[in-house]
Amino acid sequence: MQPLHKKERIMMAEKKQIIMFWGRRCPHCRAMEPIVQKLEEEEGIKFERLEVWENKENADKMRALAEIIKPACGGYLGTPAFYDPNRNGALCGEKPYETLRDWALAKIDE
Amino acid sequence: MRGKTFYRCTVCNDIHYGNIAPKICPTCSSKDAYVHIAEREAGVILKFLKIEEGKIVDIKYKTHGCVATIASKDFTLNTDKERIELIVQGVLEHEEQYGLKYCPCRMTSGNFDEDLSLICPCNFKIQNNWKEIGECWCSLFIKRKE
Repeated sequence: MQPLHKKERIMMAEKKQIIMFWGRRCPHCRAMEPIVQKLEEEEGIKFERLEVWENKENADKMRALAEIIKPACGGYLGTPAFYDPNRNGALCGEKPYETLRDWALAKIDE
Repeated sequence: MRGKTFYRCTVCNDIHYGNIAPKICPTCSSKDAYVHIAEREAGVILKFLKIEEGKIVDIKYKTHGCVATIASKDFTLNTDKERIELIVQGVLEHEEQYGLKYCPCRMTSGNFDEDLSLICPCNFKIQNNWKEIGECWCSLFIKRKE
């Protein structure tokens, strides 16, 4: 995957809305929150945060995406799970800032 | 085959849950002493259930704290105290709410049998996380340093 220039990244980010499935007692989700906030502020990527243990509707949304999320999470509905509706792809677990940024801004055909 | 069910050792009342009865009782070493029993009988012997005036009554079986005391030769608890507290709190909340100690870092699928693999401690040594970074999925358990 080629690194994107700042201007190109902003253009990509404007079209992006990533869903973040998270759990209230999940330490990985807590660790990712500052990274997600930083990406929102610096790259303009929008994250829709959906808590899955307290909100049944959110849990059902996550379960409906099991075919996409499970392979990314080692066979489970792991949290945090990031889902990109444009690409119909998922990224799972505690990741460095750069990894999440590059994945979130990747083009649809990648 | 019956599938997974309960067996009781007729010598010492040890309870086994599995596809077949153990040949030798691991508690009293008796041979061929297990008989198939109903789930209700197992529940009463294990004190998950009791009978009051002919009715079955659920007893809240709490295992508070036991999650955090499990350790083995090749793994131990994470040294990050804050992380442990958060995970254990989640596991115990799930036990309180759903009756089973589901992992706080994996959502249930809604299929009871499939979700049995999410009970903490889980069979984490088969997970990629364990192989790659030496942690269970939620990071409660970590590999011991050699």
